[in-house]
Amino acid sequence: MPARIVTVAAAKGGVGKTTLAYELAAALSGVLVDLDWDAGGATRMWGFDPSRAARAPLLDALERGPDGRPPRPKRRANQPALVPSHPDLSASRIDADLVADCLAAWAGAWEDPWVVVDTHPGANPLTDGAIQGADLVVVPVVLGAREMDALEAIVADYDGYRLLLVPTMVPPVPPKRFVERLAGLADGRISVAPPVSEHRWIRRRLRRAALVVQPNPGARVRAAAAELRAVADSVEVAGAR
Amino acid sequence: MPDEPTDNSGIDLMRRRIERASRRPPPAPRARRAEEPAVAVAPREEPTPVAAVGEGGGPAPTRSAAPRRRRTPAAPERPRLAPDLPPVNLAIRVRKPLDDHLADVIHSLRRDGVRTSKVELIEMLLWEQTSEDAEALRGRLAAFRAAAPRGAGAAL
Repeated sequence: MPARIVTVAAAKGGVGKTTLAYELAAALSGVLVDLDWDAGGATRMWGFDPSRAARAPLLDALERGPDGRPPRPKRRANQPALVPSHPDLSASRIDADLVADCLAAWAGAWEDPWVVVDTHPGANPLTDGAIQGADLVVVPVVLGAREMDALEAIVADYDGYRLLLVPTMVPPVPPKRFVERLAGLADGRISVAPPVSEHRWIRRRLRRAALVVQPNPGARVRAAAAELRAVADSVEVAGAR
Repeated sequence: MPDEPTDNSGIDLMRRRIERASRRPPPAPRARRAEEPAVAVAPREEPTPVAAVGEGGGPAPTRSAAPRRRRTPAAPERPRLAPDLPPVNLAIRVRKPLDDHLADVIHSLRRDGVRTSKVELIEMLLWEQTSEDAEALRGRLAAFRAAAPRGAGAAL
């Protein structure tokens, strides 16, 4: 059975997209495909420096196309399996359809049950292709005015796609007006996952292990991991239908 | 959009957080006055509820005949203090005789073998001041203002 493809996409940066993709891939025992060419993305979080690597496996695989050999994910204990990104992705002229076809082919070739795709924020062919080929599109949502405006645009653009909204960086008492605005936007048609709280220390974290699988976790790692696992549960439910 | 039941657990969770935060704590229990004896209230029988349509009717259960416990007066509420709590700088300026008085208290305690500090004494005085003493506090404040006027102040 081919793996289910989950694409994590956002209109703006800094909403917790990459952390969410990283943790979801680990929680679901899936492969993380990093289509975000920015230096501070999942690839560096994993500990891989593409500038020091001899090859760019993702670019090579996209060039080979869906009928070619899929990239081999890098594997390490307590971290999600990773197909690393490359800075040259930003300059590539890869078609959205090609990305969707390649992801579908790789999902069929890999033995992992899930493929989680981290994308570059905003509209670009790689992100569009990843969304096009996804079984589920996960959208992190920060409860703020501008972020909600951006979310409305995403929901309108991706009508017809299966979406899962994940409130991220949620304060202990969420602002009521934005919660109700989100509820109105979801309107019983779009699933909303359990919220992920504002864990500011995650930005300063240096360890590579995913929170959800970190051995000997302390109290705050346990708290964050529990929330992220709840989101992974929602992904399994929403992505399995 | 697929026409399937959606999961709104996230909305519900956030709404519950908002609701919990907006709840007011119940008022502190009133201390029972000393001359009132604690009387065991005889249990009264509840009237039998009218059975709703579709529900089976039956006799309503009566309250247990055990006497009510005497309510002990609640302990005064004081803040809980721990060694690792973060400090706050009050940055207050007091009139010099009060500072001298505090120093005298510290020195007299030290002569008795008790080492303390201005900070500890002031924390102790703040801690002793409970919310139940609001009336007494007003009286004390009025007496203090009369004895040691500071300047313009709100009438009590």
